[in-house]
Parts: sequence; C-alpha cells; structure tokens
Amino acid sequence: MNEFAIERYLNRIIEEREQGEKEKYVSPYFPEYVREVVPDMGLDERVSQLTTEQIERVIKRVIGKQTARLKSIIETCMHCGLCSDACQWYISNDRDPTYAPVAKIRMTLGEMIKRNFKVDPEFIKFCARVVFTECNICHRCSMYCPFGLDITAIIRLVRRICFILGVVPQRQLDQAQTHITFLNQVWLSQNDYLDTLFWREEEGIYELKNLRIPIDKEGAEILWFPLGAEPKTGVDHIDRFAKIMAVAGVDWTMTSKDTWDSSNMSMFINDYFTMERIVRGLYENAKRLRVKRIVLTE
Amino acid sequence: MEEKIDWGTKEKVIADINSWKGRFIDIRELTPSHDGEKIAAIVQPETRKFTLCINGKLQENLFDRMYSLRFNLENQPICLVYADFQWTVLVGDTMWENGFDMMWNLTLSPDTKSIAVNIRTAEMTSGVCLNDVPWENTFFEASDVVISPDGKRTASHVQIRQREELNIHWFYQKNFTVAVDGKAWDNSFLTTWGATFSSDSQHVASVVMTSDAATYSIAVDGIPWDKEFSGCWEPIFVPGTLDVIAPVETPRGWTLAENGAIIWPYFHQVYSPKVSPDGKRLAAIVVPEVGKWTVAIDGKPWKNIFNQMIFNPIFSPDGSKVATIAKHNNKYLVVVDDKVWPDSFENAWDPVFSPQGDKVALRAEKKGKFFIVANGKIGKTAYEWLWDPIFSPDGSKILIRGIENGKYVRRVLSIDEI
Repeated sequence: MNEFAIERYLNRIIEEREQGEKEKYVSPYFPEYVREVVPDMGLDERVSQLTTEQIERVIKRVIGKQTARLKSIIETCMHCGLCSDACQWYISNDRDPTYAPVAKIRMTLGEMIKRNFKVDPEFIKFCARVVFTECNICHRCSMYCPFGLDITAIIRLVRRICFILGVVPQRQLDQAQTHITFLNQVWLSQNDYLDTLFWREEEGIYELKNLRIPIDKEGAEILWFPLGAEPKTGVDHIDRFAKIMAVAGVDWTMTSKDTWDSSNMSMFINDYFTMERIVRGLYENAKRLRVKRIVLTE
Repeated sequence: MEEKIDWGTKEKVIADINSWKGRFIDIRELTPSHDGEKIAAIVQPETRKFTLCINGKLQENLFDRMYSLRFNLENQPICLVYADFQWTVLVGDTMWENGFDMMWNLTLSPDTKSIAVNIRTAEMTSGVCLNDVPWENTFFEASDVVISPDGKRTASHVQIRQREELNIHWFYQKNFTVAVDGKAWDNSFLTTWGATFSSDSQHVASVVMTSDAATYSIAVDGIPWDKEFSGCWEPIFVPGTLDVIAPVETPRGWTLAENGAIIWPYFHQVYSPKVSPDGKRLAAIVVPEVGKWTVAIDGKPWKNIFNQMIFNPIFSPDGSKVATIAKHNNKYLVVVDDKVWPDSFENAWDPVFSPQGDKVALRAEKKGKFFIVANGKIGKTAYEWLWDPIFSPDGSKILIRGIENGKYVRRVLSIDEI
C-alpha cells in the first residue's frame, strides 16, 4: 500500500467514526460473533457460486482421514484460556471471546465436523473471514497450550478448504492465482522479467560504471532470487543489488527461468503443491546453474 | 557430427582469454564450440555496445543487448541480439530477417539444425518463432517453448484470454493451454506447464490443472487422463510409443503413473523420471524418507541414500547403466549404478557416458580448481574452468575444453592420459 493509499484509508476510517456506527454483521451461526461489514469480492462473490455438495466434497478431501484426530484435538481443549492471552487479536479486541483461538477453531472446523461436513456456502464465507482476517498464523496460541494442541494447524486446514473452494480475500486469492500460473506473486511474464533485467543493467551504469546483471552464469558463487515485487514495482532494487555485489566483488547471477521469485504466498492459503513447485523451482535453478549458494530477498 | 572433430591433435592453445580482459569492458558467456576449435564470448568493446569475439576476432556488427550464446554442431555461434529496438537471432554472422519486441528461451533441436525462440510482438502478444518463421497465431502470453525431436514442430504454454487486474474470477475461466505450431489445444485449463513432445514429434503431453486449484492431471494432445491427482510433475513419453509417464501425488504418497495408472511403489517424493533409450528401464529421483534422496530404478531405490540433494539420473546409451551426482554432507559425489566414486568434490556436473556406455567422465571442482574425472580417477591437470568432456565415437578418447593459465585449450586424451 503506498502512502497515498494509506492516507485515503486513514481518512476513510476517520470519516466513518465521525459518521457514527457502521453496519454490523451478526453471524447466523454464532450470534455473539458481531463484526463490522467489510465488503470483499473474494468472500462475497466467490461464495455465491458454491453448492453444499461441493463444499462437503472439499472438506472430506482436506480432512477426511484426519477427522477423528482433529475432533479429539478440539474436544481435548479444557478452556483454560492460555491460548487467548497469547493471541494479539483477542487482546486487542477487548478480550472478546469470539476472537479467542479456541473459539476460532470451534466455530470453523469444529462446526464442520459437528455438522458432518454439511455446511452451506454462507458458513464458508464466515469461516474464511475468521481464518483469513482474524488470525495471523503466528502460532503463539499453539505454543502456549498446556496440551500442545496445534490450534494454528487447524486454522491452516480451514484456510486450505476455503482456498480450494475459492473463498479467500481478494488480494490474497489474487496472489495465490499468480503463483499458480506464473510462479511469481506479481503476474510477471517470462519476457517482462528478462526485459526488466536488461533495462536495469542499462540504468545502473549511470551510477556504477560498467555495472552488470549476470544472467544464467554457470558455477557462480551466489544465485540471487529477488522478491516478486522487485522486478515489477521496485525495479531499482535490482540494480542496487547488482551494485552491492559489484562493489563487494561477489561472483553472482540471476536465473532466466521461471521460479525467480523467492516469495511463497501459496503458503498462506495452504496451496501445498504450488508451495512445492516454488521451492523445487528455486532448487532446480540452483542445480541447473551449479551455483554454490542461494540468496533470497526478504 | 563427431567425425568432424579432430581426434588426432593432442593439444591446441586456441586463444589467450586473459588478453581479452584488457581489450573489452566485459566478457560474458564464454562458450566453446562442440569440436573445441572455437571459443566465443559476448564482449563489450565500447560502453553498452556488444558483439561476439571468436578466437580473439571480433564480429563486425555491434548490438545493444546480447544473451543466450551457444554453438550448433556445425560449430556456428547462435545468439539472441538486440539493436534498433528489435531482438533477432544471430547464426554465424547472419541475422534472421524477422525481429521482435522481445525474444527468450532460445532452444535448439537435438541435431541443433532447428532454432526455436519465444517471441513478443510489437502488439505485445507472444508466441514462437521457429527457424525465422513466426507462428501465425500469437497469444496474450507464451512461455517455455519446446521443440520436437525432428526439429520441425514447436509447442509453448499460452494464455488465451486477457487478464483483468484483480479480477479473481478470471482465473476460473481456464485461460491457459498448450499451443502446438501456433494452434491452441481445444481444451484449456487453470494452468499448464512441463510440455514435452513424443519421440515421433507428433504428440505433446503437459501437466494441467483441471477442475479446481488443487487438482492436477496430465493432458496428451489436450485430452486429460481420466485420473486426477493432488500434484503432478512434468511428464515424459516412452521412446517409440505414445505412452506417457509422470510423477503423481496420491493420498498414499508420490509415485509414477503411466497413462493414468499407477506403476511404481509410493515414496515421500518422486520426480525427474527418465526412460532408458531403449524404453525398457525407468529411473527417477525418489525420497524414501524425509530429507533423504536417492535414485530408484524400475521402482527399486538404490541402497545409497544422500542427505542434501540428488541430480537427475542419466542412462548410458545402451540403457544398462545409470549415473548421477549427489550432494551429501556438503560434498558432491559421483554415483554410477549405486556405487559412489571415492573422491568428493566442491561442485560436479552431469556425468557423460562414452557411446559404448563403458566409461563415464565429467567435470568437477576441487579446492577451487576444475578437473576432468573419468571412471573414478581425477585428472592430473587443474583448470581454471572446464566445459563438459566429449567422448570420441569409439570411446577411446576424450575431448577436453578448458581454461588453463588464462588460455583456452583443447586437449584430446585417452582415459589413461588424463
């Protein structure tokens, strides 16, 4: 989000506060769950295309054989509240119990199991809101649980269910889709990526004489994978990196092939196979070029 | 093509590469010809002007950008070049007539007589140009061109509909497919990758994402297998047949499937399958336990297990042997038929079999120097850089192409002389 977008966002919040109460969303499944209405194409529009049968099939696919284990995790919880005190969402929302980690898994996966996977599309939208917008997958709740119950793992399974059903907040779904189709997080085509590397080498020579951005240099010491945004919107990062490597006298290269983006946004929606494709792609590039080390932007 | 190689001259110093360093702003993609008689590089004789330097002699044309230098088996250099805001292909000292807004993925047929490149047109559409003939149809995007074994056909993954920024519904319209010779398959998919031609050059197989964002299959000529999986790696055709094999992920683990039917045991991971040239044996990288890699032949893993990485298995020409490189305890090892050679290296390249399959040679790095390693023995000469060794047709000699004391040398030695 650039500074203008942040300013617009803050202005909107101030305006809304001045105008008084916003429209509220009350969960039809858990009346104590009351939130502001936040329109999002990824939640509101995708869900309209689902059927109960389709949802049931996907839940079974994701958790089918683990159902008993997951149910026992949820039922083992003795409501000690330690996970809640570990959760920044719970703490920062006046200790509202609907933000408690255990509530999040009971209201989502717990309910799916309780209803024998027969839940309606609106329920999936509710689950997507909880697991994508009210949990950061920080894992603190799991660390604090005296029984070692992996609450986060359950949240992630619900995220996977929502992802396969296509009910994910718009921005997050967009990034998942670009990783699936282009193996980078910014929809950058092979030709645009390479074109950018040539362009940045040409721009860079004005700041460092004879700057070079080596492409596919076999046997280099370092293979650098930028973050997707760098060749797309932060293009000067490419020549900055080249300058640092040149001044440091490092033998380095970039790849001409796909999986040049070191980010793995697929991890946040538990798209397991795309996660594997990305990691394998990074290693295949390193193998092909026989480099000694991989350096990633973060 | 090997007949054209001079197997009689034991040693030739072709060019003093160190002297080039004083002549040019930089030297890129230093590349020897197949016969070892030429050494070429993309050089920058003046600021932001590039040309080829071959055996110390500069070509006349200067370009603004150049990359992807290689030689064909006729020992002509081939390179992507850019001048006057257009990319084209340079073969020898002749340029293609067609020029494009962007060219990438320079690909040669096995006999190197055909050249295929992905192209972007001035209208910002993409496709393929084969031997200076562009596809009649272009697409919103094209990627990863592949060329048929006979060099007459090309295929590329293509995007068939214009994307709308942040329109998450667009993805579900199935906007990707494979185009062969410029004609898109009738079926389109959520995504596709890993296209490959059959040995008769008539058919193409590819990984496809089918019904939802977690369902994959293999499509052959646009028709998906009747089985779907939670993951598939790149398919291969069995030589001389239309049978397609691909690693697939099932609830029981990863395995290999042939035309959709499971044909191997299950592992934590299976990838990079290779079929022997006679089509009788099948090798692949397998992961028998988490964090451990090896090669399995016909479903049976080697006894040696490696703890960091394994490279693709390589069959001997007669299909009787399999060699690969493994990384274990931060050292690179050469493994032939499950036997690990005694020396370890800081880096090692793909093993090369002699035509008879009885000898194996490769280039490897040890203590910052590069050596030819043949049949388990490290060569006497330390080089500053090496390229892959080439065996003579009778397998008795090896052509070595390397940099020694700043000079490019070609040597022809028997295995005993190395």
